[in-house]
Amino acid sequence: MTLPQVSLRVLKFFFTLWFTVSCVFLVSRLLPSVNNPRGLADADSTVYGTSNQNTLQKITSDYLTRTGYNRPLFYFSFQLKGLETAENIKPMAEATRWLSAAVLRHGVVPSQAFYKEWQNWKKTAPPEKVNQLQEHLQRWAGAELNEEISSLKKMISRFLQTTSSDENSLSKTWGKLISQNAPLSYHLPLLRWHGKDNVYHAWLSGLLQGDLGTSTVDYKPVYQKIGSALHVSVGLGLLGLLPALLASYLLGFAFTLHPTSVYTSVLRHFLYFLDSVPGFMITLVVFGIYFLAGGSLLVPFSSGEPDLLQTMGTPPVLLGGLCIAFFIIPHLTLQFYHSLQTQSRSLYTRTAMAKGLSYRRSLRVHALPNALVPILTLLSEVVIGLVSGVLIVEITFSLQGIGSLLVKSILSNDYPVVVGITLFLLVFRLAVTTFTDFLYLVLDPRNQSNT
Amino acid sequence: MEKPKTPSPLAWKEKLAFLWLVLFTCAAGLSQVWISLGYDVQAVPEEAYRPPFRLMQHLLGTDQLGRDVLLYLIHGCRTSWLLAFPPMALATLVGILSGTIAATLGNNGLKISLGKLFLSGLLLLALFYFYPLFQWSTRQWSGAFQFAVYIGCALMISYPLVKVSQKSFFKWGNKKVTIPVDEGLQKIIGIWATFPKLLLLLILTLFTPFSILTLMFWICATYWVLPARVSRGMVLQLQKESYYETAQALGIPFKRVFTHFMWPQLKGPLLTNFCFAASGLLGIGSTLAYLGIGLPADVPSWGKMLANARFSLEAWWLIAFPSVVLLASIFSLQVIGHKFSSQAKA
Repeated sequence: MTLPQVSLRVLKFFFTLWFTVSCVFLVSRLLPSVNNPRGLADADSTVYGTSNQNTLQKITSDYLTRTGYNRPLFYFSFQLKGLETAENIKPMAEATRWLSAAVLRHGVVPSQAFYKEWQNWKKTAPPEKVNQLQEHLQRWAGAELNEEISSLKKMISRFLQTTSSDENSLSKTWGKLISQNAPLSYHLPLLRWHGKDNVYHAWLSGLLQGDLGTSTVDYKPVYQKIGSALHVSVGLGLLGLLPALLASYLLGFAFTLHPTSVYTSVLRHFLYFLDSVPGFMITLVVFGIYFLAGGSLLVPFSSGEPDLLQTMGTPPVLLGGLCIAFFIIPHLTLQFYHSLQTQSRSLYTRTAMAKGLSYRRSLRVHALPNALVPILTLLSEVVIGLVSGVLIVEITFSLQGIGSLLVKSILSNDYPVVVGITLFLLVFRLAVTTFTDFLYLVLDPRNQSNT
Repeated sequence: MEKPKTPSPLAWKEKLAFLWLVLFTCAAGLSQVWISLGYDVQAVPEEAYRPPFRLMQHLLGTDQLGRDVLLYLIHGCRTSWLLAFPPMALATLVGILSGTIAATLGNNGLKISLGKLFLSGLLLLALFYFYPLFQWSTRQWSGAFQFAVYIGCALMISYPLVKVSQKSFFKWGNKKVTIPVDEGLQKIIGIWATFPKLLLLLILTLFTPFSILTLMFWICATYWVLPARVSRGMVLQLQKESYYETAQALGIPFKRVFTHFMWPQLKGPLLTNFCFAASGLLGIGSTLAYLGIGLPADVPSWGKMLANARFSLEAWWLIAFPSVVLLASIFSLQVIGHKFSSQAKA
């Protein structure tokens, strides 16, 4: 390959990477309750259950300021013209919501008058009245149905009339406000440019520096959590994959050598059976047999950071590796057998045997290299699919790996971790497929003769 | 093309499989009836861990909360049935549609003049721009009605506009652009096939609150890929046949070509795929329940029973019965799938 070709490929690779990563992040911002602190969106609302609307809004806006999510999502956005006008008044944080609703519904001039009057009134009025009015206004701003809006309007008017104020100018300005209508042009969207000060830019530049954000559960950095989980998962995956590869190779070879043997047919039927049993049931059976035989999952205590070999030696990881091997072996063996069988029926194998090679030797020397080529693609799929097997095993044996981390963060709505793991899996997949393509280039002699 | 005059007699295995699936469906229906009558599984903690075959009212024993295992399994049938068959049927439909369209249009089949494309783009932009205005001025209507009216009006205005603009005022407007439908579908399929299905489902369930309905939707969104691939491949193969070319030359309308030439060919592989995918889905549905993701806590499922059973291995009936039911359903579907695939080959 020439230099421009190589650089084009590299460029394409990085473009794909950037595009995928950006899509994942932007889509993750669409997740429900992504802009709320933990517990606020819970159905039973045990954490913030007794708080009123004002407090809830204050907590949310504090959270947004702290995490930087109050900034716009992307470099540009579309915003209604009325909302932009409301922003130009520069209201206090607690008044932002209802003021923008007022501007959008009734125009900027009366809204501004009401806001000024409200500021004056707030200084002298009793705090509980201020709170009550704030509550009503918030509800009015949040209402969407027409009847609800008008009934809330009336309620606020009545409330303002009954408050013991001398000249009652607040009530008057409120009356003036709701009697007017905003111009229709306030409801036209405008393109707004935000520059670098947006969530996406901050996230991407953090990512380039290796910062994936912090978990919303325990405020640990995400990369640290993934890193420590990776330890277990890699051990588990290797323990499952390597024996499975060996077993599949031996089994597939044995099946081809003795196609009519009873063992072959029994084993093949067993493998077909195993292939369609859901992975978690295989895990449960291994788990059950181990326990009923008197085993225990207690890990001997070790001081300091456990290394990969140490992790691989503990009973839950060994058992998990066994389960993963059981997940992979059927598919891999049957495919390898099929591929080898096809090659063994080909003419060149017959020629090799006619020239005096034994069946075994002709298989090994001539059929095997050809049979392995389609297996390579399969293998890359198996390695990518390993993640879901690892996940089931980790949940069953309570191991702290990537899979159980993913499930836990999904159940606790820990979005930064979910995004981090998704990105990791994407990169992992990309690496595996790129490596497979590279292996094809190296292994397949047809590719070398072309260049 | 010719159908065998007498269908080959069913082997005992296939009869058993059919019988089991009928029973499975009946159990699901029964559970639906019970639920609509408000007759649900009751948890009676005093009755926990009753072994099976001792008491008539708890024939298969009770679980850790004292729920009757038989009743729970029957209710689990409904969940599994709902998670396997309706989404898979819909996914197959979507797959047939997208695969057939992509294969028949190919990469050069869809040509649009640049002028029309430009005009539709402008109209779309205008549609987007004026929607908030419309929303505000018709705020006394309900949301869905509002949207429907807006889209309806937009179609009524823009369709004749695009249609009338046969000849553009500019020269470049008459240039044709080809839209590579086939390549587009391949790209989309490539994106969906990025992750193993279980992982994809796990991540997708995050976007909606957990419920059977949303899980059904996500399963449908994940599983349309294989039927689409199968039907695309079959149609591409079919287009090389001479009878298809003859049909084209005779000017037979597409609807008839599809029903009389494509569908008989597509039926076999799609049914096979349906059976195998549904059997896989039974496994995936139980796995999700086992992990505790996608289904709300109060929906009974075989996977949940198995997940809880691993904490009390002495209660063997909590593992044995759901496993038997799950495996029996999976293998029945596979036996039937094998029958369809051998029929298609014959």
